[in-house]
Amino acid sequence: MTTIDSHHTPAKVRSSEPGWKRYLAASHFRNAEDEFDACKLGFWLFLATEVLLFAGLFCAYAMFRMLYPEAFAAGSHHLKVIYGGTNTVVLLLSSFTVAMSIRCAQTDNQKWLRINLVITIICALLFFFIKFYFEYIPKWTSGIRPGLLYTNPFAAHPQEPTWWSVYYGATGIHALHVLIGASLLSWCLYRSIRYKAYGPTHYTMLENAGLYWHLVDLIWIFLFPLLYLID
Amino acid sequence: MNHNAQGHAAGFDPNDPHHFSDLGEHHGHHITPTRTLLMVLGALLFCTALTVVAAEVERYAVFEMGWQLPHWVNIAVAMSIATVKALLVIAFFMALKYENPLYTIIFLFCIFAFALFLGLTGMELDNRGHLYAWKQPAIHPGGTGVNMPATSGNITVEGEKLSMEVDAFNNASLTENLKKQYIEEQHITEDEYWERWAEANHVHPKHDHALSDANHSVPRRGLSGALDTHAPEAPAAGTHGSEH
Repeated sequence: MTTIDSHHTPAKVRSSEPGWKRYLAASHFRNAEDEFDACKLGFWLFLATEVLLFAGLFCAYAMFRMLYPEAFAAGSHHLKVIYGGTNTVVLLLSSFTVAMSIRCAQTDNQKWLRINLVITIICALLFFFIKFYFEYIPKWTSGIRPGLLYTNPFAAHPQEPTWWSVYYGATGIHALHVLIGASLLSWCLYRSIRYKAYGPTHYTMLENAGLYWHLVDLIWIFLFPLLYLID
Repeated sequence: MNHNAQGHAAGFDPNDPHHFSDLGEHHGHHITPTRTLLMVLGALLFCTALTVVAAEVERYAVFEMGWQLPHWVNIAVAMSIATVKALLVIAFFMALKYENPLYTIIFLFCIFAFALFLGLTGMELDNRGHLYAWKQPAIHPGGTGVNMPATSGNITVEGEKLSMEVDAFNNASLTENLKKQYIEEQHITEDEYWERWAEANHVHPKHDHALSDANHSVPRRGLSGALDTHAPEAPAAGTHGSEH
């Protein structure tokens, strides 16, 4: 009978060693590679539930659009393509930098790993700024609100509040995901600066935070044309 | 077997104490080249520009040239481009192209479930009246776009009081009431209201709030009528009034 690590827990390694070299896989995995695969499979299952969450919202969009196409056309006219388009570019760019930061972890390029993460987080903040400063706040203050909260006297269709419910619901939940993704990546950035936590043999957290970020991007890729372009 | 001895002999790796990596199961992680990632980013940005231009062209064709495009053209173009973009992100940024096919199967399952949601809900909504003709009068219109009861006070939603002041709805929709309120508060005429309305909705006088054919409701048995104020013959509010 052997246990995997009872005899082999190494003495404390010099702390000058980067975090990714010091990392030990949990004792119930055969090796770090298996742990990475298991974490990733778990994360993909979680991503599946996220896709299903947004599937419900897309379904609501499709059904209400089928019932009230005039209201959706009128509501969509209020959205400026320039803001939605800029946010699309911002998210695509940040997706690229996340993919690059994972590549930097795989090739042990610590400096550019951090630079790419910083660019990603700046993109997330920019997304929020555009979303709130140019879209949510002006709309909300002029009474363009979801459902019964709607107080704008210039509705173009009796069902316009329904469109705004879908708009605020879908973009709001998406914005929440941007916030969560940016927080995860900020945490990754902190760990990278503090411990050099990610490197060729260990970057599970960065990989999964990156996958989450790509999913956020993926959802926006569909939300943008559905809300801003189709009318 | 003495793993300890073996481990020390071959140089101990704490992340692989049993030397499973010697079995040749692992091929290492795929490292996507920078060039590939840059090309994907370029393609994604190009597709974004393409979908915006396509929507503008469609808008121009409908409003400036007066074409009546079938309702699916705009949706089909925008969704096709979005799908291409999504595939690029999934395949290269999420590296699904180089990954365990199991993840692809998980993702395909999601798409299958989504199709199920959409298909079944859509069929049900679209065909209610056909299947349940006898049920038709019992299907209540909902939401804020239909005539609301004349009672004032708080609106109850699913038994819970919504802490929101709602004045008498006077058997009109929420938006209709907002309009009436606004006209009263501002002491303006109906015409002045419509001028401000056009300004607020960015409606060009030339367009006169014209919609492309794609955006007109299709009458649906069992659903339209009371729900759709643009339907040719909306049933009188009284038909549902007794059931509120």
